[in-house]
Amino acid sequence: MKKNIYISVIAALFAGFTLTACSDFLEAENKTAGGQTADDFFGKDASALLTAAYSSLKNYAFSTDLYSRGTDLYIHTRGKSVSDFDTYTFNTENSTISSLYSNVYRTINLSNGVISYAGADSQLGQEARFLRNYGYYILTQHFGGVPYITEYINSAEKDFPRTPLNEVYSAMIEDLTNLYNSSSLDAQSHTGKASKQAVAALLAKVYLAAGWDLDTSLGDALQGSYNVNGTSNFSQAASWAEKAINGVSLTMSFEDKWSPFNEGNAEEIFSVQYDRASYPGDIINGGHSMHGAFGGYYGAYDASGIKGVSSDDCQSQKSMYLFEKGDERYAATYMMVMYNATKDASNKPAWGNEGYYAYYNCSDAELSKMAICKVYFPYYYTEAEVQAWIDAHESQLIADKVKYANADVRVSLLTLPQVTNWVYVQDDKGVAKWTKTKVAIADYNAQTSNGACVKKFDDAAADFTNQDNDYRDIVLFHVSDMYLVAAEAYLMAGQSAQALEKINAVRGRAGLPALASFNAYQPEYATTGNFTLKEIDLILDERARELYAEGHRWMDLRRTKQLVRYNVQFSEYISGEAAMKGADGNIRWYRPIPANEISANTGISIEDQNPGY
Amino acid sequence: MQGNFKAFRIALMLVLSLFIGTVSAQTVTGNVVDETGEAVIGATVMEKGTKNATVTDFDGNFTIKMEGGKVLTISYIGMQSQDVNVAGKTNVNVVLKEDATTLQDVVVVGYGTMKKQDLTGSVSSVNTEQLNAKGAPSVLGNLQGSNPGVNITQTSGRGGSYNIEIRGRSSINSDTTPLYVVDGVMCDDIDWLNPQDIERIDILKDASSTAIYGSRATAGVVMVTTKGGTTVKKGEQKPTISYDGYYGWSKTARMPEFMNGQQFYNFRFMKFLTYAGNGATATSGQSSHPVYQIGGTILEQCLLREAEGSGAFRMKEMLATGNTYDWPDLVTQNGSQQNHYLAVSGGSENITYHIGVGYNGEKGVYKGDKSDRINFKGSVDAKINKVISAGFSVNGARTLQDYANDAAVQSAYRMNPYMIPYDSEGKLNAKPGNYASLHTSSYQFSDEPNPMLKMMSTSKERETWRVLGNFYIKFDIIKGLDFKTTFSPSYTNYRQGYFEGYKDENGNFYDSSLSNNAANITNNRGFSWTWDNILNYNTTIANDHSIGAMLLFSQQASNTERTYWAATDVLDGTDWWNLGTGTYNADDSKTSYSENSMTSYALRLNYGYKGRYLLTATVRRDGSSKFTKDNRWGTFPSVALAWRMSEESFMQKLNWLSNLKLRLSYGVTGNCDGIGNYDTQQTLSDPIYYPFGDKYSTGYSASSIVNKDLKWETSTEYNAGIDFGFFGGRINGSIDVYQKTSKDLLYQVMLPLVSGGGQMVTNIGSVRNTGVEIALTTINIENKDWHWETTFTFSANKNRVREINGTGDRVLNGTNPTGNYFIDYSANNVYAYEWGGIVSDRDMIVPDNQAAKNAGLTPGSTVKEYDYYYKAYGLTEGQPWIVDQNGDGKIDPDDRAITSMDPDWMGSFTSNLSWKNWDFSFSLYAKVGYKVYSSFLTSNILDLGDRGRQKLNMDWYIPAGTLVDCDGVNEDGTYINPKYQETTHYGEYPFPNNGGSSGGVGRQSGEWNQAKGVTSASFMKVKNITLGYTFDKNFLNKFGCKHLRLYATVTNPFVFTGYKGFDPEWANAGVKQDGPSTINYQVGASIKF
Repeated sequence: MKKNIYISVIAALFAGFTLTACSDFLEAENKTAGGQTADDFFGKDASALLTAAYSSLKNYAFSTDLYSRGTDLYIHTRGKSVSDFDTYTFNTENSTISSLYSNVYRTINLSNGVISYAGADSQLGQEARFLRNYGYYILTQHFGGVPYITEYINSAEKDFPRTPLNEVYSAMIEDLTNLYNSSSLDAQSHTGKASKQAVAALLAKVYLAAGWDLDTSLGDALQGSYNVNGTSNFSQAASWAEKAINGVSLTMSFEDKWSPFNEGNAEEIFSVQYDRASYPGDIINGGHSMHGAFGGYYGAYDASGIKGVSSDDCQSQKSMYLFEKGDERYAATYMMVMYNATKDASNKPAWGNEGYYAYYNCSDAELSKMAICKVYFPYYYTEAEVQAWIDAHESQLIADKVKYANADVRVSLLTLPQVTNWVYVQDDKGVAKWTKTKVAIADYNAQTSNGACVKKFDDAAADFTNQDNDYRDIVLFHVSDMYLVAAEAYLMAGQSAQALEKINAVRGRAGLPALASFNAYQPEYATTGNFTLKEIDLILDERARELYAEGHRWMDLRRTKQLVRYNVQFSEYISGEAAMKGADGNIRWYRPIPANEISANTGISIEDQNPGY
Repeated sequence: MQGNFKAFRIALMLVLSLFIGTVSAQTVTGNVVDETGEAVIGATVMEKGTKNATVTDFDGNFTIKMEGGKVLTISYIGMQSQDVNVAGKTNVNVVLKEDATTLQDVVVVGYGTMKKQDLTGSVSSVNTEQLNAKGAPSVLGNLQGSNPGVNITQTSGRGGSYNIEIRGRSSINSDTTPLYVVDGVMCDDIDWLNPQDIERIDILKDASSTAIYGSRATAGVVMVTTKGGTTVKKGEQKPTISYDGYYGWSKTARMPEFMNGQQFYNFRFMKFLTYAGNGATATSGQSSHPVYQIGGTILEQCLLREAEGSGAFRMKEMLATGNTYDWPDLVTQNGSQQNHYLAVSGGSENITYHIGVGYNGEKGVYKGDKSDRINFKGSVDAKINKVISAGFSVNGARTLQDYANDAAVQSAYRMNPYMIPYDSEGKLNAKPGNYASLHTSSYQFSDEPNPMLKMMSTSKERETWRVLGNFYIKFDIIKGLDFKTTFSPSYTNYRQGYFEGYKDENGNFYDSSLSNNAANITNNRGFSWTWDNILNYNTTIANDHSIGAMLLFSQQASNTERTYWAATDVLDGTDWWNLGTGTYNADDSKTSYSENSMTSYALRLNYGYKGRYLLTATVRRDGSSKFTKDNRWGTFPSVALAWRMSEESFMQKLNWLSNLKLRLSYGVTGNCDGIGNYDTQQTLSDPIYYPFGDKYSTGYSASSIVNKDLKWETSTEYNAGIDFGFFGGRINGSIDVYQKTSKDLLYQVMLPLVSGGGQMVTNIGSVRNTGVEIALTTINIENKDWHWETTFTFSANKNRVREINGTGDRVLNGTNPTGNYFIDYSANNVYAYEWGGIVSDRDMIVPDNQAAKNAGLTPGSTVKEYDYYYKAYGLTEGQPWIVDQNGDGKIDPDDRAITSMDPDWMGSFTSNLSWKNWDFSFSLYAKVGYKVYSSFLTSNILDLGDRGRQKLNMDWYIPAGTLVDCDGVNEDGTYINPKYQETTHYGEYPFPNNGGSSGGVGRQSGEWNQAKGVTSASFMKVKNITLGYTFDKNFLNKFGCKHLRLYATVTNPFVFTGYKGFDPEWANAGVKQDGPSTINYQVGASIKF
């Protein structure tokens, strides 16, 4: 009897199992997503996706490897490793290149997502179209023709062949022109939103690049020679650049234009946004690191009170002689005077109102009394002038290793082949004395505190300058760049006078006299061999001065077909044309299509690789 | 044959006649001894089938008045019970055998136990003595080297974290952690258990044994049986109290050879030499045999002159006075370990219980690394009536771990011998390598903070609670049929707190690089339950056919929730306990929740014919919530056959053969560990914050693209084995060969970069493991006083990737040397450049390849090495050269070579020797043909690109004529007291100097930095040496004690290896987890009352 009860209980249990197994016991609920899928969410409102698309620009808005190295303007000092991008030895597996490629496509795919959820002509869709085309602009400049994709990829689709470059350019031009003409975008925006002005600026850049890539042909790479086969794209570039300039004249001083207190100013057209005040994440690393690139090393920032710079991407010998006397842009680009910081009982330097950032955070009256620790004079000063300056600032040049974080005072005159160094230092008895030495440039570059650093991207509130703690917006398009785009476009369209007019407008704002002609330009930097000046060199030098360290250089040299000529002539790391060629004997004009893409994308095979790889 | 039968018949008749002759009540006296002839005191002597019992006295003697029975049962804890027929006898002498052998005879398998002789699969077992002999504080550490085919590797020099791999790597995406089953409950790890609480561990290796665990079994199953629970003998009356424990000291050992003062001086001097006549950074334009010089200012900078142009050279001064420092010694300390376990077990007729409590404490060799663990367990089993029995067992632990500052550990090995730890007042210098510490005004090494201060600056602590329980009711329905339902909840909770920013008495941060304090706390709570329902039936038909069937229905669910909160500027002294006092932001508070569930059915059939022919067949069906409806269910069958040849009549005449069994098995298992709970659903990314102007917006993107068709990884395994015993068990062993083919491997495939560069988990690829395992135990000496037993294990496994679907013959992980897969190569491989040697001034024959032709050299002609390498590769004398695998004259990614990181074979050797009361044992463990990609050798410790950080003492090449030292440089550039290298020194490492790329290493510096990490790490370790003494029972009995053994153990006393880093086992560990190995000295006791 008892047994029967047990058996029935067990039978009932087993019956129960079979039932429970049928229920939704095996459905796991995803509470963190509120039970929603991505599709549900964006179908209701795609604005969060658009925000993600804007934010994705941060991934490639700044890169010294990609935008600055392998050019004429920057070198490594203090024995810092030379990058593959300086020597053109990067290969198809280079992670920086594959990151650029995939990061840009991420912007494109997010934008395409917005367009697919919200519609191409909705407000959100229009902004997304601008972002998508900006992405394609970057891709075409680095890779040439790339897969032109306008649908949202949200499955494991794998077949995306390369689209010929001319088709990519014409598709971009069509989309952007249409966007400009029929859009409800704001006329302009200084808060990082896509605007009509930004669309015009992008169109100008696309037309200019299309002009060079489609309408000119290379003569000799080492000579930088080319033939112009058509001018319509150049003319379009000039007219869109004028639209982007939108009548804004260059009245603001160059120093003000780049002041950390003048973000979103009238010359800014489109920028990647950063904001310190209400950043919701880890404030130490939530910004970018542009402030720490481009310059020597002045000691650990928390010991010296001077911002932490890496010794990478310092001034090349050409850069040292790039600016001519009277060019206000030198002092606005480089930090010429660095103030000393007092230190507390635990040897920590004061910060913000002393040291490097005193320049921004103190009044002129305060600065005129503040101790100075490092001064950098460009080549066009004479030793006598520097000595006179030292004499005039005697009261601010204090060697006091007990009180100040920087024990010595150094004044450098950055000339070639030797730098002249005035050093004022205390001995053990506390007696200070000046020494003046001449140091060969190579030895000078091997030391710390070698050379001025770029200040254009300084964030006056930065705390951790060895980290991503720069919250300045990264300006992608601005008005004086458009002046020079117009100048280049006019020159290439055969309208030299208009070109010169634009250049002179830029030079005029910098305090330089107008050039009467392209031939009147005589640079101060040294050249060797059979380097003869061309008209395009003025454009490129002016871009170098006006846009120093902004991240245009490599693209400018490639576009204008001067990449080989400039590297062979000016780069410390390139000895000849052969050094820029791949195993197949072709010059590496473009970056390689990443190996990862070739293996994962069935539409692209090894045969589709760019020349040189 | 004939004679044997005769003897048998005579014996039978004798017994029968005795039986008939004694019908009336009798008094039996006797004596009970153990195998060594020693009296067994307190053994229970019971008339079988009655409650009539007595115990033996001090001399092992007993007297019992029989109540009509004929058989006495003699039992004693730790001994095999014995039935003695006393019919017609008045005096018997009984020898009790140790019980260890009975433990060996039963093996724990999935959802049950099995007699070892009936086993058809491949299972290896370790008992508590073997497990605890090694003296490691963790279970896995103790298990290392005990079982062939089980590869256990310590992965860090700090604390015991282990990687375990059974029969090779069967998955490429998920890890190879096997399924742990503790007292029948599935569990993620077992290192939280106290090793002394473990009765035995059975490792199920082949698929026929593991398939009963279906979808989770591919990586093998480790069955852990804790003490009590299933092992307390029913009917045992008297409680047994036992204590096992040890205390140990650990000393750092086998520190890599770092540079001392003189060596670092030599290195630094050369590191500042520059090409004569060329720029310091020039990479071209020099000759193949360049000359080096040093300038006056550079020399000052190199040797740290007090001030520019004046004062002493600080390094010369410190070297002369011997004031240099051994930093590795400063940052490490002696550690300690202790383990104690106290248990009580006992019971009455119908109830048994076991209660245990344990403590384990460890102090690491870095200040701040320590752990404290308390274990508690209890179990009760009760027979309620003839049909129902029920019980529960709970096993819990609370672990408190403290961690030394990671950055400090890393930084500790960056400090060179000239960095000064203490100031003149004996206080720690904030920055040992800066002006203030070195008393210089112009030159210094670096601003790196003092690692000893950094260690004092932070605190990281993790408190973990784990409770694993099971509650069961069992119905013995009819003879042979029972039903058991078990509910097993498991609870895990950890809280991790981190604080940085402790201050000294002056209110300054110890770590001067900090500007505010910061704290965070993570709480992670996991709960899971399993409900197993098992119907079991066993019967024997016609004496010859034994049949067993097991039917399982099981459900399982688990969920985890997590909260994280961080803040800065919290109130001093509050660690992570008052975060509200600080400032925090949206990104600093996070919560999440995740769940999964599984339903399973399984069936197992056992069939045996005459105990000779054995068959086991199983099938399991699992459904998991991780997959979409269509792919949810997986079926995992297995079948195994065994033939006990030694039981065949034709084998019986072979007296030397005591056991011979052949086994064959096939099975399919699954794996879904590589899949997250929601990997088949596309959800939202983490929030993205982006400002327009100064207003932040919150954005989201979709989480990465998902593959809705994901399914189980499956492995199909064949196993053939042979078990043998010769000469009455004096030689025992087994050999297994297997082939395990895993397919539909879960792998993160790269999507085309045009889709944003994401990855997607999908089922691609196949891996095969083929291997052999041998275990051999021999009893070499066995007599009254001596016993010597040795065990040898050997295993070799070959791992081959067989298929990587749709992506050609390789999948590359960017330019990373690890994480690449190649068809026909091991999944554990390193794909890296190969370092050929150093460009020297010796002669060489020009090879016949494209490189030589490009360089304009005649193949076969004799040239100086430096001329060849300069012309062909632009390398100069003293620089390392990379093997140009295809000889095309360019060192590019095609010149990388694939090196397997699997050992050729692994082996262990254990020896146990006892003489009277003394026992002496040791064990060896070896991995041979073992290559690694060493994080240590690729770190700054061997980076010639920097000149201020500590280096491994490498023997570097010095070209003849090189300036190796001087006391200064005159105005005219001549040297004061120069010393030159007279003849070339052919060192094995590059010549350090300041020329060219990365410190004179040359054009192939990037490749060399990678190539130098590939190195042999074969090793043989003496894991432990133990000496023990077991006291006489007679003596102990005076104190009411049943057993007392005292012992001393040395663990890891010797390691034989050519590896240059810390320990070859954790050669892959990142610098922060790296550290020296230790030698531990332990003294311990094992007591039973």
